[in-house]
Amino acid sequence: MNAEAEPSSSRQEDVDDKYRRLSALAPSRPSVWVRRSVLAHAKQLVAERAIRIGPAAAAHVADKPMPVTTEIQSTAEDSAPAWRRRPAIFGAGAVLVAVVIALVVSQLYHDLKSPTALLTPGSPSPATAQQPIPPATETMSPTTQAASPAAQATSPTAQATSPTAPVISPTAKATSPTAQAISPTAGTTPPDAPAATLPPR
Amino acid sequence: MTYDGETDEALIGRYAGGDSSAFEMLYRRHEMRAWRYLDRNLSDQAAADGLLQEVWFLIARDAEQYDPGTRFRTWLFSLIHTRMIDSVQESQRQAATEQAADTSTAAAGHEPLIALNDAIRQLSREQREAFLLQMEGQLSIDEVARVTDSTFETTKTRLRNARAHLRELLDQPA
Repeated sequence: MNAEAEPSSSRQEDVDDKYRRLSALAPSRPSVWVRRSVLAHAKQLVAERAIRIGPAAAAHVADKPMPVTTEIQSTAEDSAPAWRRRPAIFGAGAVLVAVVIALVVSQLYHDLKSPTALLTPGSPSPATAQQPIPPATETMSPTTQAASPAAQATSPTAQATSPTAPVISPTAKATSPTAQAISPTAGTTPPDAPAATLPPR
Repeated sequence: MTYDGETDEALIGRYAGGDSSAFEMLYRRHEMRAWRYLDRNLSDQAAADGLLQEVWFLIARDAEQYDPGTRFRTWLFSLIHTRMIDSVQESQRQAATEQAADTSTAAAGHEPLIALNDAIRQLSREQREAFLLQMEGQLSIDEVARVTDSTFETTKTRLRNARAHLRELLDQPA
């Protein structure tokens, strides 16, 4: 078998060698114009592709969502107004609470003043009547004094919009419990009770 | 820039990326073999030129779609073979046979070469295609089978018969 296979294989190689040898002698060649036209066509296609891909790539990029870095940037830009808005809301709320407290307290004083005047008609000493009414915040001694700086800090609108927004927002938050601490005092005070707070005659 | 060390697959990839000199290198590498395959099958230099041009135009156009998993040479000769079959069917083959005589006349003075061309022409179409795909395309039996849409065994038989026939024809005294 092997003895038969080897000559067969070698004869095949002979044919192949003969073919290669004779082929190399062949003077015929493809036309030069074929090569020229093929290479020119290939170059033209590359140029066309470059032109086509150029604007297409730009359009594709424009259509595509922003890259990750830009996305991060845009997220930061979106969140920045939220940061700015939050203290402004808290600040406005704090101002509102302070105004309400001031109104309540002033109303309270007004109410206190009137019943006292009614209780002692004609005998209110000018000193008592003229006695300076402490500001609303001053009346709430320890609690309100502690809360007052917070209220003062949050009340200016300028501070609410200041760039140090994260610092403001907790302060503004801190004011709301203060306001809550004040308002029950004001709300639960019976109409007669403030008389006790009046300085002794 | 020289691409001597580059594989065909790398060159077609470079061309797809916009490097036309890589295409030129690729063309020069395969020009002669591709053309000989066409010329020996068709026995018509003008037809071989035309088909060679068509096929390389296709390669330039479809370079971006080239599958790197396929050997470039297999792709090239697959395109050549398919285009040649189409062309032969279009021209009803008779015209190509008529022109074969002209080619023989043009090769006058190169007797051994004429004998080779005559011998190849006497092979059956399937044998000739398989033999030339292996000799000019340097394809394996498996690749030839794929290009010609045949089985491995059929292709192997065709190749063996083609060589046996050629040996007989070439060994004959002139």
